[in-house]
Order: sequence, then C-alpha cells, then structure tokens
Amino acid sequence: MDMQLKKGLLDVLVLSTLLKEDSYGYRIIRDLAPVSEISESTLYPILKRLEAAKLLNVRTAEHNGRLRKYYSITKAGKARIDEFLSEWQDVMKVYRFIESERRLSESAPHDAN
Amino acid sequence: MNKQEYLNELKYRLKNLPEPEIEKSLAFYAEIIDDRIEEGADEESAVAGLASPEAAAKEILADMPLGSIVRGGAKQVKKRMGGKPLLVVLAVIGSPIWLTLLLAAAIVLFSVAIVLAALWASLFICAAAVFGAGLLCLVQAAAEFSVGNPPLGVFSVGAALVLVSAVILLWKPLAGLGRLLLKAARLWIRKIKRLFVNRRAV
Repeated sequence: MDMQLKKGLLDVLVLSTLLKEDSYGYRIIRDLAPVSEISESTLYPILKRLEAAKLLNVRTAEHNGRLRKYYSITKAGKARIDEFLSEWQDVMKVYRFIESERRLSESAPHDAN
Repeated sequence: MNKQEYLNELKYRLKNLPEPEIEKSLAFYAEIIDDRIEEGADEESAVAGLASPEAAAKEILADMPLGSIVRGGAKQVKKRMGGKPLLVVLAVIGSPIWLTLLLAAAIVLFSVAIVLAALWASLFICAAAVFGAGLLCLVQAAAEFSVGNPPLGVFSVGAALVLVSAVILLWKPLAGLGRLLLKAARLWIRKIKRLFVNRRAV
C-alpha cells in the first residue's frame, strides 16, 4: 500500500483504540492484532506523533510496582476520527464506482478494437 | 537476548539522540517487555518477539526531525572531547578527509533544497513586483492627466492594464509551478534526512 496512505490510516487506527477507554502500549498492539499486524517499533513513532499533534495525552501511572504510560484521546483526537470517517465516505464512493465499472466491463462483450 | 541486553543495544543505537528522547524510547520498550512477561511470556521470548534493536532504532530515527539528529551528533562529539571547545575545533580540522567530504556533500545537497526554495520565493516576488509596477503606472497616469498631458496618461493606463492583467493571467500556472517547486524541495530534504539516518542507524 502507498506509504503515506498507510501512515495516515495507522494514526487514526491507533487513536480509535482509545475511544472506549484509556490504554497502554502493549494493549493497543493486542487490540489491533485482528485488524493490523502493527509492531511495537511502528507504534512508538505513531504515539509520539499523535502526542506532538495533541491528538492524545500521556500520563504515567504505577502498575504492579512499575511505571506504565497511559494514553487518552483528546477532543482534537476525536475530531480527527470524525474527519477521517467523513473523508472516507468519499473514498468509498470512488471505490464502489471503480468496482462497478469493472463488473460492467467483465459482463459486457469485448470490443473488437 | 534478555531485557537488559536488548535495552543496552537499543540505547547504543540511539546514542546520537538527545538524552530525554533516548530515555523515553527505552522506557517504552521496557514497558512492553514487562507487559509481555506479565502476560505469561518468559523474558527471553518476550524480547525475541520484538523487532531487533537495529530495526527499532531505525524506526525511531526515521521519525525524528533532522535537526535533533544533527544536534545529537554534535553532542556526541562534545562528549567525547570532554566538552572542551578547542578540542572540538581541533578534532574537526584534523578529522580524516572523508568527514570533510561527507560534510561538503551534505552542504551541496542542502543547498539544492535552498535553491529550490529560493526559486519558489523569486517566482512570487517577481509576480508581486510586476503587479506593483502596474499599480504605480496607474498613479503615474493620474499624475499625467492632472498636469495636462493626456497622451502620456493614456499610455500609462495602457501599461498598467498590461502589467496587471499579465499577473492575473499567469497567476494560475505560476501558483502551480510554485507548488511543484515546494514539493520538490520537501522531497529533497526528506531524501537527505534518509541519507543521514541510514548512515547512523545501520
């Protein structure tokens, strides 16, 4: 897949795991496993980027005698997801158009030229 | 590889980054390893499931702004020299010739980006200048009419119309060209960054 597109998709995908409740690195990867084989080394830069863009907040809390970082989505982060979903309405429209064109071309008899 | 070995290796690969950046990266990976162990994995397999320290470092470096990588490099030199500025200068002067060549290459590459950006700026400065000249011609026309020199006044109005309309007509292609130049400059800078990151991370 196109790198730039994939980057944008992963950003929103990671954000979406925080909608229900705050989460942490390991759990985000586990939650995303069914959709995307995202690795720790991919996740880390994404989290940093999202934090820099103020789409999520980070807080450190104690867990079992060690520190763990918890990520929570911000208002801007939720807005980013809404924006993504409405943008993809258009993409899906294009997708369906391309799909139906191909179907038509397959069922129609082939042109001589 | 156990947890400590993994973190040490990663730390070494990130040594050119600013200190807080290294700490944050190490803390992230330590937390993941601990969480994996808590989930039931033993230490060795928790580490084995991660990307190699090289790969992890490469991802981190690729996402850093070029500035902090270069600053980190300078920090490294300073650290090695014990922070004595004279020694740093001597080291730079006395360093093997390839370092100078590398630096020269980097400067040449960077200057290409600057030239692209300058071209972009000059496009718009030219457009603004022609537009401004057109407006001035209008002022000139008003002056000529007021001192009773209609032929020159009419000439000035004509000149003003030609200049202003040229800018308006050419605006769209000009803006397109400008966008193209900016894009090229940005791509170029990203390429240079790659060059740096790969050289340091691998």
